[in-house]
Amino acid sequence: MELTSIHPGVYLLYYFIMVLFAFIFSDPYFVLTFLALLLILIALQGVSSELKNIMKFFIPLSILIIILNPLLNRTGAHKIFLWNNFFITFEAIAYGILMALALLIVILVFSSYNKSVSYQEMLYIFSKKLPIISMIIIMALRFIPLINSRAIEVQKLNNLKNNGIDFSDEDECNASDDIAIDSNKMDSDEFNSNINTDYDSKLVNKLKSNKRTASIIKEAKNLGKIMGITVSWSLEESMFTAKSMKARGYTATNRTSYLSYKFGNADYFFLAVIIITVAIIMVGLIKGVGMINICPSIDFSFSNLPFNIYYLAFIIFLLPLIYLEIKERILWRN
Amino acid sequence: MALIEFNNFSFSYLNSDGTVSQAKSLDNINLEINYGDFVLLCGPSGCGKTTLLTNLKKELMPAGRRTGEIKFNGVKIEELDDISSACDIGYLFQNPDSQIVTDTVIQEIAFPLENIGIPTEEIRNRISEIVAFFGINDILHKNVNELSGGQKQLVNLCSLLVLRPQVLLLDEPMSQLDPIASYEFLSIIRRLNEEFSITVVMSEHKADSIFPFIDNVIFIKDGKIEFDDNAHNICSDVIDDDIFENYLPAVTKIYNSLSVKYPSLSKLNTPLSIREGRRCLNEIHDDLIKINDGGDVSNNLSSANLLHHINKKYHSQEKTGILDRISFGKNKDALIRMKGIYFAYEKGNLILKNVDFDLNKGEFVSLIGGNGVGKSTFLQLLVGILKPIKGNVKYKKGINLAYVHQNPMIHFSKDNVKEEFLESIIESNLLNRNNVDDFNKESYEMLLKMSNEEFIESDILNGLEFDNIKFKFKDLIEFFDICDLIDKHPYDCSGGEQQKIVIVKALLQNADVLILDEPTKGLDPISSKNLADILNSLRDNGLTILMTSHDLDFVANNCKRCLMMFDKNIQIDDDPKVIFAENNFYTTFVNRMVKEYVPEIVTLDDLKDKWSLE
Repeated sequence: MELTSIHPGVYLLYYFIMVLFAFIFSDPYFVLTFLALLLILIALQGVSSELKNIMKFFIPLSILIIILNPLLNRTGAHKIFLWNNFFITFEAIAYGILMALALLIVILVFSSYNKSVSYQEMLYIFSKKLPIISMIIIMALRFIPLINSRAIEVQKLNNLKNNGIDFSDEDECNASDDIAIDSNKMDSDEFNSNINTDYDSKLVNKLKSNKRTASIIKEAKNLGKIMGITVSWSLEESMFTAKSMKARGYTATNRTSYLSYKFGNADYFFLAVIIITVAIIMVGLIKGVGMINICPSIDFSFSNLPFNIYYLAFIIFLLPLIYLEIKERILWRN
Repeated sequence: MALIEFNNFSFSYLNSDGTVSQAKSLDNINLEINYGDFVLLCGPSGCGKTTLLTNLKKELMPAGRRTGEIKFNGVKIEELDDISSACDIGYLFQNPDSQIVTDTVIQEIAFPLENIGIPTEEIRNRISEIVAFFGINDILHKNVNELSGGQKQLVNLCSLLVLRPQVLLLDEPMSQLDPIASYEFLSIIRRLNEEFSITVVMSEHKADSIFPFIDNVIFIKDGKIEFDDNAHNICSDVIDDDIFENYLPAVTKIYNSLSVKYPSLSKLNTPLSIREGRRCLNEIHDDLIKINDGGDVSNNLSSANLLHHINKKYHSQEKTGILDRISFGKNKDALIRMKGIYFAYEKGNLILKNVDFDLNKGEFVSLIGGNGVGKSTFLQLLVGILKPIKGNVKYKKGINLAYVHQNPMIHFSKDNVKEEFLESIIESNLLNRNNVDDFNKESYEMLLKMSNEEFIESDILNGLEFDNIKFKFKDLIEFFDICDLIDKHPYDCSGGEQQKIVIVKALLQNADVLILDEPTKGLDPISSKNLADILNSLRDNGLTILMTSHDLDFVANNCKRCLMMFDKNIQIDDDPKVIFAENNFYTTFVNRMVKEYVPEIVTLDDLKDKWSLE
């Protein structure tokens, strides 16, 4: 969202309550409503590539949960006999599905949170109370990619060392297209293509398995060496980082922060919606609305439509961000 | 009252065992720097430039014994309070990467302001001011990893300027930048000095473009101030000094040589920029024309020869180019052959496109071109670190490649140089080939325990014979002049020394082809000359050398073949002297200076020959 700025503190509160609700609610109507509205929100915010990656991992995981839970959990009144004496319970299946859904909702909530709150805004919340930790986080964010790129450089060099000394270890030139072979024939006495020798040596490697273990040890040694060089290089450079921090007055006085987020009207409005709806939902939860008993016997039927004030409050609780996203689209179109 | 005053200041570092070193790193320095001065510090590596600069900054003062005093605004440096020391004196380091602390540009610029406890509103005001002045709006929210070296150094500078310093101490700030980024950086420093009267003390090796607008030059040698004068005077002061003469701009060197022959010139002010230099040449316009047009017959002939030679060369180049394509693959001397190379780090963003290249035996080839044009990528493809997406690289059977990375530091993994050398020897097959059968762990240990001299003289190492170079081990070490470094930790050596050690390591591996990525980066003029001598004599020994460089003078003086990269391919492949003679902008300072009279001359030595100067 670009046209409305909401204080990161409010976001944090809102998403925190969402995560709690994901675990508390077990009534399928509530859970499915939650999921549907969350999906709409994420669709509006834009699906990130990270979410796609997570989903690739999550879908098999959820299937595993749904299959494994009934196999391991035998409690429940409604038995379904599959063969002979082997049975699973209906309650365990329902529980497995609800658990998978809850997990899905939590993942979606976090993904939406990442879209709404940048890490800078996160830092803003923490920098007041925990200035040192937020400084360490900032430095780590700089340092980790840096050390990564250094390790890549060192590794490149290490590859060269291997193929520079003996050609048997590394495939130096793997572009084995037709042209290469043709030209090899043309001046075969002068140019010895490394492709062929490599191919041979690889075959030999595969035949001699003890040579392979030797190569594993060699790999491990190489990796250790790469790490060693990277770390000592980084330490050497860190000395300058430390000097530069000191030269720019680090530890001279208490740190302040350049980040500033003002608490505006939108924040008050948002906060009011959260407080009112959460209060109503809490009353409902105390009365037992939104939760069902699964064990020992499931007490839910789809004919009990949950049309009451608590369900309405729950829907309203989930709407503000969707409203703001839609409003933003209308504003852009104008 | 001067802004900075050194009174009889001396400094010695601590030894590793905690005692004070006998050698004085700074010896009896007396110096005054006034408000708004632009001061250039010059001197060979290790002469005490950095020591002098760090002693000016309370937070960075090295441990050691100091006598005398340094005053800043009349207050001793040690007695400045933390905040005013951090604000008033800004210190910029050499390496743009290592001094960045945080991950985004805005965070980095805000960092010092947060440190000294300025309220949020004020911080934002100051950042907005700096951003407006430098026009870095576009990169403000970028991650620092996405910036180029020049941009990083600019961000570092901004991060100092938000504190509103009175003095900027710059420790070779441009040594890691390419020429274009250097010019930009320098013009900003100049603007800060002229428009805001910020005092600047800068150390730098390549002074050509700095000399025209500095107030004072200080030449330091072995911790002592040898010369301290304004830019015009110092040029005549150091004429006969064989070290500092090298630091002068090319224009001044030409003027100095000319004024011996044409005394009428010495009435003029010493020229520092090309503009002033051209004016001087105008004074003796007639004489110069005479030299060119046949006052001297032999000269005339040689110039005609040269031009003819250039023409012929162009001609032959074209011909061989076509012939090459017809008689595909007939070149028997090629050690490495690249054919139809395509390369990209990510899809849709080609770095190299259909590159063909042959590296022949005994060549000294250089690779030039703008920043980010793919020079390093080209080298890495050539040595096989990167794999081409399409096309292939072929090597002559049995050749050994040695590659020296831009940052020589990453070649080291051992505790001292001795071990580094032994590692290279063991990795190569030299020991087996030279019938040293009894080399085992014990003899390795024994070699490690030896003193420097014994190590260099040891029979095992001196028994080795290399394919391409005639040197024995001892000769090699002495030739590179690294006898004293043998038992040092590689990280304790200076950049130039590290470069030499890596090259020796490569030679000990019996390399046939030496591939160097920016070996001239950050070298002082003397080391640069030494490196040129070393590389030339290795070439004469039969080694093949390929290097990238931004130093056009170095290329023009030493290489016989030069590749200029442009638009994903090798655009020009010719003698560097021909290339620079043809170029108008991307050429050496000497050539820019004398283009009107002798357009084919690109190096100082050629000019001296041509005009028969001393």
